[in-house]
Amino acid sequence: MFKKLLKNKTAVFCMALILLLSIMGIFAPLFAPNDPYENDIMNKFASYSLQYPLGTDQLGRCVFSRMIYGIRPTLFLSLVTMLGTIGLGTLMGLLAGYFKGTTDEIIMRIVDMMLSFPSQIMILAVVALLGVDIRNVIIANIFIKWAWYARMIRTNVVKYTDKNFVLFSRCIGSGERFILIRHMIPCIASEMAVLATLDIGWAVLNISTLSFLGLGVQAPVPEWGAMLNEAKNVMTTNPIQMIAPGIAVVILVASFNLLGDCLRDAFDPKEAQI
Amino acid sequence: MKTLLEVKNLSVEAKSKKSSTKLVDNISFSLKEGECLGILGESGSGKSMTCKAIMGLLDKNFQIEGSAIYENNDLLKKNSEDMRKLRGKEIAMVLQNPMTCFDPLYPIGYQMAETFAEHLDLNQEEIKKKSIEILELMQLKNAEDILHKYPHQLSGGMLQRIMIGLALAMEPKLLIADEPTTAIDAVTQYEIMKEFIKIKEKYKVAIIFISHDLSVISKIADNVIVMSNGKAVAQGDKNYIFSSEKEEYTKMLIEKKMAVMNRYKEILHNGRRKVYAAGS
Amino acid sequence: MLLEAKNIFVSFKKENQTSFFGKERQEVVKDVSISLKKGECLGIIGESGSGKSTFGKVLIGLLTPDKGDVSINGVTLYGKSSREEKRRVKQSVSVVFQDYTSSANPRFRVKDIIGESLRIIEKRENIKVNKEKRTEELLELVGLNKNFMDRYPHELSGGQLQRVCIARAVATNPEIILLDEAISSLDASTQTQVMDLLKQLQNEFGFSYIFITHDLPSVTYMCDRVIFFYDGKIIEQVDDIYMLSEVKSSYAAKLLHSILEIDIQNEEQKVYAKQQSYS
Repeated sequence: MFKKLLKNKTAVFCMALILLLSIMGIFAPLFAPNDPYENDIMNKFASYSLQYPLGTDQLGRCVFSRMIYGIRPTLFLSLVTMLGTIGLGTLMGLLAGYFKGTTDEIIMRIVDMMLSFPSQIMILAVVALLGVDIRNVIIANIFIKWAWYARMIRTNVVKYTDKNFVLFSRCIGSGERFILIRHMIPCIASEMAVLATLDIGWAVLNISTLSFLGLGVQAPVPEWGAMLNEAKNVMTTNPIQMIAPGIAVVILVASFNLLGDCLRDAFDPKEAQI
Repeated sequence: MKTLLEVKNLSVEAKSKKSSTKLVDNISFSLKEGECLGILGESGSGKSMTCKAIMGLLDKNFQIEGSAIYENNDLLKKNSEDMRKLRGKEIAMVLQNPMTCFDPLYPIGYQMAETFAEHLDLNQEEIKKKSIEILELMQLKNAEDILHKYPHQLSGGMLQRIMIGLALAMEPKLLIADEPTTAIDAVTQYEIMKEFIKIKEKYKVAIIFISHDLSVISKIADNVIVMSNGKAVAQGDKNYIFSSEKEEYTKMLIEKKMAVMNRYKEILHNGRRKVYAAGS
Repeated sequence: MLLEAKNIFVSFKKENQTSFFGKERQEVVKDVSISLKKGECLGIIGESGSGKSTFGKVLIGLLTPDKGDVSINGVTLYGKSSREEKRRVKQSVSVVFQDYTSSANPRFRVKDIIGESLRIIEKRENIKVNKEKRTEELLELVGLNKNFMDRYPHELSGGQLQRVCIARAVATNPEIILLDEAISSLDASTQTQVMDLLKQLQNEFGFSYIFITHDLPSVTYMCDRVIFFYDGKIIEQVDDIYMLSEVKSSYAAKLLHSILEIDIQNEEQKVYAKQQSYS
């Protein structure tokens, strides 16, 4: 299956891009020409030079270095958020869809409750309640978003629980754990892959939005959304400060979405040898 | 009786990026008015493909060669608009699995009216009258009630009879039936075969009857083509094929069916052996 | 008596309730009792919607009936018995379904499909099974060579996939195999080949079959006894297949009458048949 993925040029391109960004983020000190926190007021809004490839921002900090250090919160925090959301959502969806009956009713009523709240407002409310801290942002995201995925996963699981191969496993006594892990999860894997990649995109935008609003990552930590926030005041005088993180966010989210499509195709055994 | 359809050297190839496979390989036959051609074969033998090619129902991914002359016109060379006018009116099709042939969202009466509106010029009243006429012809009781019912409320057998009735209503010259009784239980299958025989003999409609079941084909066909892997492995008069054909594959099909039917006869006649031997 | 089912009632909640919190139920199986001896092949024949598949599921423990019980080798499936007994009973049944396309996990290769059954044997008897060798043996038993081991379900034809399902069902060494319209989706000649295989396996290993179908000639080919199912009830029971022609109910008689035989006629017969078909 991994081999199939490697044959798809779009997938390879997206994975390479994401891998590159990840490496740049992890080894940021190696890639960044300057310290992202070092400010030099005298040198603000400098134009492109060898030392400052994208110039400096309103406090004289190197924009390029901030972009590279900004990968860390943007990408890695979104990854953590996505794993938490999808993990909890899948677990709940699997239990509800496979065991049906009372378990299903209880879990689905909780899901209905969570879904009736407007998600963005809820996240803001939770962050306001728990305090402004990036960990609380992640908790808030997971707390709100798992319900979405639980419902989607449950629909898919219900589709498969009545299939004959599950009935056969139950008939010969294969055990619930075997059925859930060896049968159910691979079957819903392709849907999960698409949802996971869409969710990372959503998480990136969400963290950036919150940072933009001042509720997520706090200054002076570099993060693409926070950089957009600072750039909005100087949009006309130093456009590169806004364009760079903006384009970066778009490219990152788009790569994940495209990768999601390719993953879904790769998981399907029928889309094999054409 | 004049020849209605003459098919010569029909071949269908599926084109894909890397390879092409021949789904139908050099099929030729001729069909006269009021005659029935039975196409016998297993899944994947190309029997449905042959008829879809003749009806113009295959898309650009398939390459079709050969000719199918109907009333001095080559059907394979006609454009899609001309074929669309022929389909439903002069050439009708009855397909497998009647439950999937009707749109589950609309009542039967509505769907029958759709066919009439397309090919005939009748007003609402006349359409309703004709629909009831057809349903009664197919021996379906409470015809008026049925018009208001949805497909899932009727059984497979009833839906199939409505399909046949609809096909007949257009007074076609040629009827193509693609495994029409495969999804139906034995009792209804018997009734539907009687309808088909009536269509052939009373209304003199030429039929191409596709099936994998020997006994069904033997009841209605005059001539038989046996298909395997896209090729016609045996072709000729039905009685000859089922009794004296020497070709391996055909003999195997007949043997297998005979084994089951012989045992059935044996049981039915209470243990007294009465072998229905082929060729004796 | 290997298997005994007593007074089975099954009903499902109706889709269209007349009242808001209505509890109307649609009765699908109405007071059915059967018994099965070791080595027998019991045929259950009925049209679609008659409740025979639902009844079959009750017999092997996949569906709990509203009332009634099933016991295999004296151990009750739905009543009070120990977990150990219940587990042992589960080991004596297996099933082959009609729809082979959903009978195998599309992501499993053939060796994994059969491997699941072998895993059960390993767990049950606490031994290590040479999975590759045993899978080869089983595939050979059903007439497939070992090249099929690495294939996916969508790469097999209907007949081949159904054979894999039979191999999988046989792999757990069951005593009873439920064949729920197992051959109905296959071509006519493949049906006969698979029935021959089933008969051969029965001769070799002594399985008992419950053969559910809508096709009467298959029943006469495979079974020793047959039960006619109609509208959730048994309307006719034929305990010796050779007495089939002496059915009493009108439904069974109509079914016998509808069987189409291979028709090879001369001209005289054709004319006679034409006259008959107008009626």
